[in-house]
Parts: sequence; structure tokens; C-alpha cells
Amino acid sequence: MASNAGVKINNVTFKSLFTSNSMYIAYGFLIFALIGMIDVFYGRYFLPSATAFDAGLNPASREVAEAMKVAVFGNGGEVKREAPWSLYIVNYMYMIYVGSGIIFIVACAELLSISLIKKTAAGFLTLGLAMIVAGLFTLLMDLNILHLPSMLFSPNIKSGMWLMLPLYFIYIPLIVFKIYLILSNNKKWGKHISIFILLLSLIVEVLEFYIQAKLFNMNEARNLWTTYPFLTLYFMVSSFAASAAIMVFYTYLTYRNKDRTQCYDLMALIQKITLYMVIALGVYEATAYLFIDKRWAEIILFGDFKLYFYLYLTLAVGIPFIVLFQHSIHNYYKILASISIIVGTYLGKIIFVYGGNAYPMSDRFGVGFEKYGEYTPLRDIIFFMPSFGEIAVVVGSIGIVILVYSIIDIYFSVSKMRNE
Amino acid sequence: MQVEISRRKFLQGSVALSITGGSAVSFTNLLATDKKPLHKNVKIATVCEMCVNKCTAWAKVEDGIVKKLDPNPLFPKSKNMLCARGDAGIHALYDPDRLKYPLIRIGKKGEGKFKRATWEEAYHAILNGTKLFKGMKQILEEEKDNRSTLGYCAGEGMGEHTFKQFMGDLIGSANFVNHSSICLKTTTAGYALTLGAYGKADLDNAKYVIMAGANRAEAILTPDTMDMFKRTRGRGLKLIVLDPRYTNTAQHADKWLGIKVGTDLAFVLALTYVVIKEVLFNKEFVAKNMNHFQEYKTHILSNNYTPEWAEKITGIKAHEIYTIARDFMAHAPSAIYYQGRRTAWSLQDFQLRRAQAIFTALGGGIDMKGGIVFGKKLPLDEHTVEIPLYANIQRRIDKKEATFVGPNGTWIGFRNAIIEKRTPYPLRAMFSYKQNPMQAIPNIAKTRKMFEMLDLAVTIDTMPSDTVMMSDVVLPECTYLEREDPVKSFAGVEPAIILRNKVIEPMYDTRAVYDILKGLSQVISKPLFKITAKYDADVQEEIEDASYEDVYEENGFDLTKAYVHTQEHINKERVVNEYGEEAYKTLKEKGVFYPHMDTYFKQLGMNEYQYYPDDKKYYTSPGGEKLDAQDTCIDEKAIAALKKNLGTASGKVECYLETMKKNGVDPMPTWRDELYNEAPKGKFKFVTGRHAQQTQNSTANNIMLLDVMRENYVWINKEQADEKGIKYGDIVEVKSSVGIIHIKAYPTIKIIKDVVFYVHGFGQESTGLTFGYRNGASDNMIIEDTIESVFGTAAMHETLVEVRKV
Amino acid sequence: MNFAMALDYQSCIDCKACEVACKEENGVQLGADKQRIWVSQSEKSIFGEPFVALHPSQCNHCQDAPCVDVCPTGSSYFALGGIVMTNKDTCILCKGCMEACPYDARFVDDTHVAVDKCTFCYDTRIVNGEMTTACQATCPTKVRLFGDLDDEEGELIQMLNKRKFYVLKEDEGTVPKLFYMLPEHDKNYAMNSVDEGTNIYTWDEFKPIIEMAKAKRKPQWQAMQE
Repeated sequence: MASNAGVKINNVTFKSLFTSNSMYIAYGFLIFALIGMIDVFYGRYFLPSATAFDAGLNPASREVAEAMKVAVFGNGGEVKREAPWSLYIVNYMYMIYVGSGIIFIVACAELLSISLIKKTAAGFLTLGLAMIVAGLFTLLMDLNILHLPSMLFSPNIKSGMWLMLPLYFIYIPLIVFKIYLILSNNKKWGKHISIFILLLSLIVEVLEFYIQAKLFNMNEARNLWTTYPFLTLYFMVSSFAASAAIMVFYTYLTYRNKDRTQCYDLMALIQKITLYMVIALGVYEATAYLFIDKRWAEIILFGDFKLYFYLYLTLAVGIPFIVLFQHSIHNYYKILASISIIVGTYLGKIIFVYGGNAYPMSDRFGVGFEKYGEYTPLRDIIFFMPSFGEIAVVVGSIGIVILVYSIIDIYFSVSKMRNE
Repeated sequence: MQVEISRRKFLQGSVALSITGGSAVSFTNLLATDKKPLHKNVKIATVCEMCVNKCTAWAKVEDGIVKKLDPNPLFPKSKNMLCARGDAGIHALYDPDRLKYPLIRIGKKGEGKFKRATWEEAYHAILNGTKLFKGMKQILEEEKDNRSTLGYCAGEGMGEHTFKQFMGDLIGSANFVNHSSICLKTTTAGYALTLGAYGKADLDNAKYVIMAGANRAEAILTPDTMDMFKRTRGRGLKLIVLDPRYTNTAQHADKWLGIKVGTDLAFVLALTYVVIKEVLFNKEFVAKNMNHFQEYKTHILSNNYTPEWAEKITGIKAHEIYTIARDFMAHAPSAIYYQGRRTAWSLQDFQLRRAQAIFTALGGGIDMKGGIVFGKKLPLDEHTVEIPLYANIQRRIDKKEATFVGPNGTWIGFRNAIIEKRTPYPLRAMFSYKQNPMQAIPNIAKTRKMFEMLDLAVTIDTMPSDTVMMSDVVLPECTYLEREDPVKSFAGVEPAIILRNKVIEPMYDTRAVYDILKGLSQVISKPLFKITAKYDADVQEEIEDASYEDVYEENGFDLTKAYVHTQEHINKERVVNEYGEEAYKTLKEKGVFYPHMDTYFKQLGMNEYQYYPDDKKYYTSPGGEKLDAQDTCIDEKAIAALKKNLGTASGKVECYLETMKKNGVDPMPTWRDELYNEAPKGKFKFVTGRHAQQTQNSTANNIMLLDVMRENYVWINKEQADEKGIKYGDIVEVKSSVGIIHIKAYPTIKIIKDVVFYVHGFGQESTGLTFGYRNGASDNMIIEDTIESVFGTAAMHETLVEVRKV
Repeated sequence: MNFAMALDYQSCIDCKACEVACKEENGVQLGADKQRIWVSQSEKSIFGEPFVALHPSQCNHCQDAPCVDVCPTGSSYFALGGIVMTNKDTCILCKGCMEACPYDARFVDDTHVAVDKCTFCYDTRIVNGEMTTACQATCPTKVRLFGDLDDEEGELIQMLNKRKFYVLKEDEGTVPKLFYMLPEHDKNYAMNSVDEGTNIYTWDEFKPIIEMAKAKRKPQWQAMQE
């Protein structure tokens, strides 16, 4: 079938598929994913939790007694009411939007007919796709998957959250189709279709960024999100900086031994893109906080988040700017800069999500934060460490990226440089 | 049934006992006899037992499971509410750690090793003992039938009387101790001796209230709590709160004064000084209704109890005292110095209560609307049974522990006399019902020692308390939702009778205390009489005249006779004989009855009810028999309003007590410097208290209440905490002369300097409590066993402690 | 019918009866964080004297509820009388509603792995025709008064007509339906228990705001829970 359509599938045995080097690395991460999933699902679906009725229904049950004890004296369940969105959402956003960013950058390059990127587009697109899958994986781990069918059976089509579903249903096939077009080198479809797909994917992507921004923006009381100027644009800029950095990193890993010159040229090209993105991000952050709600800005710039914030600026903007601003530097520095951006922008996402919840909602009467009991602590800042399982799932999602990419690469050699 | 007393010796003071005969038929069909009636969704009227208030409640039962407790608005005392504890009553019923069957100790004392037993086995263990402990038979044999060697204690409750009657009247022991000496004894005594009764503060109508130490927002008392907090803050009731802590009551006050611990008497005396000096008192009331006022006046003035003097002691500014004294009298007679409850705080507590009562009386707010009222009690038919009389019973062991030791004893004196071997004869057994002395009495180490010294400890409880752990035989009582308790009449401005109906059948192998004692009596009655017949000269004499069996049968020695009828039947008799069948039917169905309830009771709004029309309320108690019988043409109430007829000896407010004088106690409230200890530098005075989510230590394992308050914290003044580097949540060590505890710190601006506080009820040591075991800290671990000398009441705020971060 | 609640919060003594009654009535999950209803407190020092304000609170059942909009599965919805409900069977736990709520009124019920919140005792009482919530019934000092804003003769409207009140976080545009009665006889408490910038309303002033939001949202109200 596939070969009929012009895509060459490598003849790979299952054994060699699962024993390739990249797969071993994937496994390393996937173990975390597995442990994380077990931990999260066990806690979510198998650990007994107790309601006020349970004691009456099973009056002498030791299990119920233990569950009640954990409920009252334990850490208070998986989701903290004051900080519903957590590291899952950070990772989901990061993976999806940095992945989409890669695809976006590639699409723009294609529109601009930048041949170097056109040659390597399949690999980049696959990487982007792999990240999107990893993002969705993280999101799924966050959601109650048992109730997911209600997304189909009782949809609220007006909600942004629901709209993401059809968007992914359009977006992901589009990318797959794009990859297919490249791999099959299909002349039949012609350039027009190809450009149409390209434009469509760009539109869908912007729409995605827009809706995502809207999802944060409509949380009226979380003013970090509502007062962030041009949130859609911010999402794009911050993601693209990371996307470009990942592309640098990817290029080095993939092509350093294949085609040294092309690799160097490609890296130089993406270095430039990265630099622009980093500058844009720097400018954005520098001005954004003039508009952001004082209460949130205070926490982030001068309060509990300040160390993270300045670390974020240093890693995502400061260091890369200094490094990448120089024209001819050794690849190692470029790698260093890109890693700095990858880590930095991740930190940025953490600050964005956690920061949005940082200012407690408990000042309901305008006379200061309220505490919920005589002896419960007064929270003037909200921050909860993510659980072990959550962190493991997030680390494991890197394994998903590698896994998805590697399988596609092993079968379809997407990383091979192609002539147009 | 007539009481027959054929005996010559009256060792028991009273023979008025309840109980009568008849057949037992459950009145309604609401209560199925099956353990789990299927598909029955019913609402049953019951009475809460989560604390002492006895609020009426509706129990919603679904498929045999008690699903919800809702307030029953019919009872004027509890109005229309159920507090957190009342709502959490379901978790007393369904507590996973409940005692489920009788237990007999097989391990070392206090180790908590028991074997499951049948009721018969448990009863026989009590009678005969086991290899590990002695039984009643052996003990009474060794003590030659001195029944007082078997001590007993009970917590407050509707079953207290049932238990007391068994141990005191039927078994014959004089050694009873109850909560009063670790509770409000000095207060009730102070008010009773001064005003004739403790009375009730009419907070529904009072215009000015000084509430010192009492914390009605957190130590909920019905109907005071509901009455007053709807009227605070400019809504009719001006509230002055004196407390070293800024409590939730203080939060509602017009003025909070952080008084130094143990100095309240100086404050009241200074108020009195101002009122007398400035002649602000109600002259007419004083002239007509106060005895020895002139002496008191001279006493106050000559001792120079000025506000300036009090300022130095209490830490309250003199001008505040002037203002309060004048304001109080300006609002009098609708002005009350609130009586307060709970324990004695200081060594001078009795005199403090007297001073409070006299001060209130100076304003005239006694026995009238807006003041301290006495109300009316609806009578219930009294029934009696025969009680035996024993010749060899000796008097209480704690008689010498304080000036006046009444029939309820002095717990600390009682215990200390035992462990310090000061008793005239050995106290060898302890029967505890619904009380947890291990946690309830200051200085736990000493209570533990007492239990270790006992030959036999029998405990009736619903939960494996610390006292259960120290016991030899444990008899599991069912909870209040599984039994019908003796019907009870509540005196008040709006009196009523309430009945705690059984909601579901007892779970597990548990019984109501009445049935527990019934079973026990069947096992022990004859063997114990045998011992009596052996040592009791009177009985021997009688046996010579009549036969052994006849003496046993006819002189009350057959203890089983007291239990021939069911509790349900006795209740029915007592109500029907007084008010008729309909009244009983109402009680069964609605849980509450008072005459004319059907016409008086009205719902006025979603949250408001009328119980009695205003003109039918008993604000002023009718003069009673002491009023001149010739004056019948004049309205009783009108006379009473003019000339009170209080329950004191003179019928007036007693400023001077001759009996006290005779016994070496100050006859008039006098400040004694030597009885006041100020905290030296570096030390804190420890105070204890209550929050609205726990009842003493009985709710320590209630998961729902722990849900709203997980553990206790020690309050320490924020500034002093900062000096010591103590932050919120830090573990600190609190050390007194009798114990050390560790607890989390709660630095707060809501407590004055040099005082630390943590709430009572936590820090249980019983491993049987899944949730309560070593959760938080117990106050009685560190409170010294100090008693005030007049009544032997625990003075719980006299302990000095050191606090340090660990 | 348009259900709402008035809170005479100056009578609150923080006994937590409402919190416990709510849990017992509705079988709410145990845990300090798992509250449909709560009494919180704010504390400050005024000239060296402690001052504590008690804030009984719960879901505001906003007339223009943001939580309903964000829900992707309609798990958050308006039931009879505009009560904001959650359907635990369709909740995918995206937690968007929790983020959208300015009052922290929602939490995750781990027994259902779904979001939970105050229902005004909809399924235990209102559907049976009862017009008191568990929290109102149990309250010793009768802080709460539940009622129907459409019933001009009702006690709730009568109370709102008599006394001034305010709502929480009005700026968020949620049009909340918990009405906090201004402590009219205690200026000090009134001043210190709520921000001075808060709008104080009479019913005549607030009614149009409610009516407008109701008109917008009424079409979404469901008659009965399915």
C-alpha cells in the first residue's frame, strides 16, 4: 500500500527496531513514564479514598479506617484546589507548542523556499509531531481518562477546551500528510495542494495558539493570564524560541556525522532564527511586566518566584543572546545555548502556569488572605511541589518523543537529507 | 410502687429512686427489631449526646443506616441547631474503633491486650476475677463487705443516674466521683450559696453581659450560644469579654480585655468597689433582697478594692474598670456578670463566683427577664425501687481532701488520697462509666498510678479510651443512637421534656448501660448477698428473724428487681402518669413535649420558631411555697418581682456566709495575695480551654471532627514566640513540674504575654484509637494537680510551664 | 425560581457546624481541602489589638458563572433555579472550571476523580421540595438564609429589601448569588470585614444586575437533573 503511494518503507525487523540505540535511550525515559503512570493511576483509581458516608456503609472496615486516616492526615489528594493546573499542563503546553513551533518554523521556511530546511523538513516535522504526541500523552495522564468519552458524547462545543479536540483531529493528520508528501515526493499532488496544506496548517496552528491563550485568558481572576499582553503572540514567541533551540540541538545530533558542511550551514541558519526569537522573547518579557497585574508581577519579579524568573531570563534569553550573537562559534557553544534555551523556556512555562495560580484566590472580601481554620496556615502564595508520579510522567514524556521519532525514522528514514 | 424501708440504718442519704414496673411494648412501629430493617427510610426523633447540651435531632435512617442527623426545632433549649459535633454524631456510631464486644484483660495492665468475651464471661470475670486480677467477690470478702471499697465514676449523661443508682444505691458504695470537681463545682456552689441556684443567664434579653473566661462561641452551651450571638455587635447585647485569649467570643465583643490569668476576683471586687462607692447599685433590690449588704459594703470599701489596685493585679486599666462598672449598672437590671462553666481556674475560684453573683445582684438582675433566671421545671412522675442497706459501708475516702466534699467527691483529692495511701481503708476497685479519668484529670501520671494500684477496674464505654486500656474488664455500651435513655425534663424559661429514642438496634455485641447493669445484677446479686450475710451484723440479725431468702428477696438485696422492666416502659410510665398517653405519643414521635406545645409552638420564619408565647415564659419563678399563702389575690409573679424568694437560707442574696466562717473560709469574697502566683520571668501560665469541634476528650477519634480540626497547637504570644525563634508549626516542648509534651506552635497576637494555651482533648495514648492515638498533645499531661481548698475542685490554671523549641 | 442565599455573617462564630453538616448531608470526601463550604478567617492588628473577621462561604452559584462556560463536556451546568452543578460522570478533570472560579469553590473529589462543589443541597433536599440547605438548618446562630429571588413574598427578598448587602469579587463579572449582609449596627466590623471599595447594594439596585445576567443565562438552565 504505502509503497504504491510512493513512500519507501525500510525493511526492518522488529528485533532491530527495538534494539536500536535511540530506542534504548527512549526506554530509559519510558521507564519513568511507566513508573509515573503506575504511581498516578494507582493513587487515582486504586487507592481507597473516603467520603463522609463510607464509615456508615462499612462501619468496622479497617480499609475504610485507613482511607479515612489518609484523607484527614495525609497530603490531601492529587489535585490541590488552589493550584489545579500543574506540571502536567506545563509539559503539555511545552511539548505541544514547541512541537508546533518546529512545524511552524519549517512551514515558514518552506514558504520562503529555504532549501536547507526543505531538505530536512521530514525530520523536523516528525520531531514536531513526536513532541505533540508527547504533549498529548502528558495531558491524558492529567485527565480522568475513564471519562474521556464524554468529550464525544456530551460535548460543550462552545468551550475552548473542547474545541482543542477537533483542532488536534485536523492538525495531526495534516502534519502526517505533510510528512507523507515529503516522503513520497509526490509530484501528482502538485505544488498547489502542498501550499494549500501548508497554509492550512499554519492557520490551524495559529488558531491553536489563540485558543490556548484564550483558555488561560478567560480565567478572570488569575490576573497573570488575563493581563499578559497579546498572550497568543507571547505563546508563539516563547515557544518558537524553544523550537528553534531544539532544532539546533536536533540538527547537531542528527547530521553532525552525516554531512558536516550541510550540518554546519543548517545550524548557522537556525542559530540566526533562534537569536531572533530569543531577542523577541527578551523584548516581550521586558515590556510585558509593565502591563501585568501588580499583585502577580510582585510575586514573580520580587517575591517567591523571583529567583526562578531571573534564572529563566538568564537561561532563555541572557546566555543564548551572548553566545548566539557571535557569528562564528564552535558548535558546542551553540549546543550549550540551545540547551540553555530549552531549560530556560521550560522554566518560563512553569513560571507562567504556576505563577498564574500563585496569588491566592482567598482574598474574597478584600481584607487580606483568608485562612480556612484556626490552625491551618495562612497562604499568601500558592505553590505545591508536583508529586513524584507527575514528575516521572513528565520525564517519561521525553521517552515518548524519542520513541515516536525513532520508530518513524527507522521505518521511513525521515532524517535523511532529501533533494527537492 | 411504694418504697419499703425496713432497715434501721440509713447510710445512703437519699432513697428517692426512679423506675417502676409494667410490660415492655415498643410504642411505635418506627423501630424495627431487626438489626437492619430493609428499605426503611424513616426519620426518628432522638437527642444528641456528643456533648452535655442534649440538643434534639432527627435521625434520617436509610436501609438501616443512619445517614444524617438534622436539628429538630421543637426543643426550646436547643432551638433549631446542631453543631459540628452534633452533626458528626454519625461518626460516633460508625467509628471503626468502637468497642464491639466485652473484653477481659489478658496482658499487663495498660498494655491493651484483651480477649474477646461473652457478656456472661465478662460479668463472671467482674465477680470472680481471673488469674490476673481480683473480682468483686474476693475484694468484698477481704474488705468485709465494705461496699465503699468499690469506687465508681461517671461522666455526665442521661445514663449517669442509672449507673449511679446501681453502684451507689444497689451495690452501696459511697465513693462516687464525677465531673463536677474537674468542672463547674465552684461555680454552681458559689451561685447556689449566694443566689440559691446556679440559674441561667437570660441572654435572649440581657442588654449588658460581662463574660469572663467563658467562651460561648467555642464552648457551645444551649441556648446561650444561639441566643447571644444573634444579638451582639450593636444588636441589643453589649458584650464585654475578659480572657487571656482573643477567643471567637471575644471576636464578638464590644470590648475584649486580656486579663491576667487568675486575677478575675480582683477585677470583680474593683467593679463592686466602684458600684458601692458611687452608689450605682439598685437600692430597692438591695434593700429588699440582699442579706448582710452593709457588712459587704464595709468589707469592700475598707479593703480598698479600687480599680487602681485591681489594675496592678489584673493588667486591666483602671479607667476601663470604672467604665464597665458604670455601664453595667446603667444597663441593670438587664445586666449579667455571666456565671461561666467549666473548671475552677484559680485557688480563689469559689470566692470569684460569689463575687460575680453578688455583683450581678447589685444591679438587681436576679430572677427576672434579662438577668439571671431560674425558670421552671416540668415534673416527671418519680418512681422508686427498693434499695438495700448495708451496715459495713464506710464514708468517702476523700472527705478530708477539702473543706466541703459532697457526694460527687473531689477527683484529684480522691485519686491523690489513694496513691498517697491516705485513705482510711483501701479503695480497691474502680467502675467507670462514660468517663475517661486517664485523660480527664490533671496529672495523668498519677491517674495511671491509681489504676495500677487497683485490684479491679471495670469500664463501660463506647470507645477504647485510655481508661479502657487501664481496665480489667471492658463492657461495651452502645452509642446514644442505639438506645432509649431515661426521659428528661429541662428547666428553663421555656421548660420542656425530651426523650432520646432508639434510632437503630445496637450494633455489634453492645448494650445500653441499663441493660449492661441488668445483666450484671443477675450474675452478682446472689453471690454478693452471701458476703453481706457473712459480715453484715444487721443482715445476720434479720436472717435470724426471717429466712435467708426472705431477707434477700424483701430488703432490696435482690438487685435484679430494679431491672425487671425495660427502659422504654419506665419512660412511658413516668410520662403517662403525669401528662397522659398523648404526651408520651408526642415524645415518641417528636422527641419533645411540653404542655400546650401544639398551640404554643409556631414557625415564625425559615430560621425562627416560637416555643412559648412571651407571656407564658417563666422568666420569674413563681414564689412557691415560701410565699405567703394569704396573698393569693395578688399575682404570684408580681410579688416575686418585688420580693424575691431565692433558694438560699434567708431567701435573699447572701453576701455573708456563716457556714464558711465556721469552717475557716472567707465568709465574703476577699482577695488573697498569697493565693495568687504570677508567672516568674521565663515561665508561662498554662491555660486550657475548648474549641467548638471537640467535646472534652470523647471526640478525639471522631474522624469528621478531626477533618475540620486535625490536631491541637499551642498558642503563644507572637512577640514572645519571635523572641524565642518559634514559628508556626514548629515543634515545641512544653514542660511543667508534672510532665512534658511536644506540640506544634501557633504564635498569635490573640493571646496575651506570659500565657500559653492549647485545647483539651488531644494527645490520647490509647493504641485502640486509629485517629486519636498520639495526635496532638494532652493538657492533663502537664497540668498540675492543684485543687482549691473549699470544694476540692481542680484549679486548672495554676500551672507554670516552660516553652522551648526542639 | 432563582435560588440564592443571604449570609448574616456577623453572627458567625466559626463553630464549623455548616462544614460538617455539608459533608454528612452530601457524603463529601474527607480531607481538609475537600470542602464544599467553609468558614475562613482574616486577621489583623488594629492599634495592637487583634481583630478577626469570620467569613462563612461556599459556591456563589454565580448567575453568570464562568465555570460553566469553560467546561468541555457540560459537566458543569446550570440546574433548576440557576444552581451551578457538576455531573461527576462526565467530568474529564481538565480542571478548567477550578481555574475559572475566582472563589476557590471547587475541588477534586478523589472518590469520583471528578470536580465537586456546593450544590445548595440540590439533590438531597431541593429535588424533594425542601427549601433549607443543610448548612442553614444546622447553623446555631442562623447565619444563612436560603431562598428564591423570584419569590417577592419570600423571606429572602424581604430580608434583601430590609438590609444592605454586598457580593464577593464583583469585578470578576460573575454576578454571584451569595449576598453578604452588611453589619449595619457595627460599623467597626463592617469596615474591617470587607474592603472599603466594595459596592454596597440595596435589592433595588442589585436586582437589575441579577435580571440581566439571568436573561443571558436562563436558556442554559436545566429543569431537572437527568
